[in-house]
Amino acid sequence: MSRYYHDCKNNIGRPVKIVTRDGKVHRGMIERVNNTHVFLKPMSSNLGGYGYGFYRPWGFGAGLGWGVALGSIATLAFLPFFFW
Amino acid sequence: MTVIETNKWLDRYTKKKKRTFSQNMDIQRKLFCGHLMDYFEDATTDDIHLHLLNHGLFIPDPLDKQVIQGMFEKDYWKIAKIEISKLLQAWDGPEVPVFLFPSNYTNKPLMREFNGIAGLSYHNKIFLFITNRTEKNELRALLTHEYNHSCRLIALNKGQDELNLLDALILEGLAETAVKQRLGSKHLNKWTTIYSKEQMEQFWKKWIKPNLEIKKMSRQHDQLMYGHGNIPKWLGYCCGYYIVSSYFEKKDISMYDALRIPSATILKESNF
Repeated sequence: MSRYYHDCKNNIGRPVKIVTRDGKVHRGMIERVNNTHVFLKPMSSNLGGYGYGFYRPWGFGAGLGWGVALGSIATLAFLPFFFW
Repeated sequence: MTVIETNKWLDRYTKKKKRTFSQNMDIQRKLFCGHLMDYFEDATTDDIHLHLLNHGLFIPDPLDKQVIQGMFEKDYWKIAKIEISKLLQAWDGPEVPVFLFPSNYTNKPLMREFNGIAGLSYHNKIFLFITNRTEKNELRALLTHEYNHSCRLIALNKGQDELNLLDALILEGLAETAVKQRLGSKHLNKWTTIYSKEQMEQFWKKWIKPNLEIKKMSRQHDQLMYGHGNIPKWLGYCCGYYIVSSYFEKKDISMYDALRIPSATILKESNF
């Protein structure tokens, strides 16, 4: 089992930055983890402004999260909560 | 005043589209948010993309080419350009870039409650989200609402960390009052009439009055504006409209002048 499995399992709901071996950077919140993948969902960003009355945090489509293979992780860092 | 040629960005998007949803999300983010980086401070293309999606930007979909094509045919960009120059003259407001995109027409609440229309405004930029079925006057109403925000924010001259719930109530109330004045009650947002005066008086005492000083950056601010849990839906929006319309009923004042009056004065001279 990947050394990252327990790290992820114990930190579900936390914002994280993962760099995979191909150099790709993933920023998101840990949603769940299984033996092979950690699943992230987008972090809410607040860039301010005033809306027309419609606002759906993450409501633009379920399943927008993505999986990252545990075996492909080069580095994993937890981000502070105030980050988002 | 500039209506940005997002039609060219959209045209490029339709030509570059690939097979999968995630590929198209990526193309959308790079194409649109790459251009938008200059208009936001300290934000990545991911941040901007997510923020716009949350506020009503379309998500890649098999029908989006058709919707975009329909928008080109109706030349909403030209309508926006004419309208914004009239508004600028009427209110002597700032010159702000306007970005027009398709809205998320696959989102049922957005279609049901807003007829597929959404927007997002800052003191220095405006985003409009519409569909290929948006009527000319609906676009004019949206632009009136959003540009009224830009003018108000410039007049308030407050930083993000200084703006509070009272400012937001008056901001939304002014914007819809402007829509009523220019286009009539028919074009008012659904949230202006969702609660009766009596209901609003109770909500005011319970939820709004004790929280007028809450800062925009706090989570509670948006919960009071949009509703959340026990907090009634669109509470702040509806309350703001009641405050500002009662102010206009009592005072003989133009929108030009009202835009420049402090939030606390408008509240004090209203029925609330």
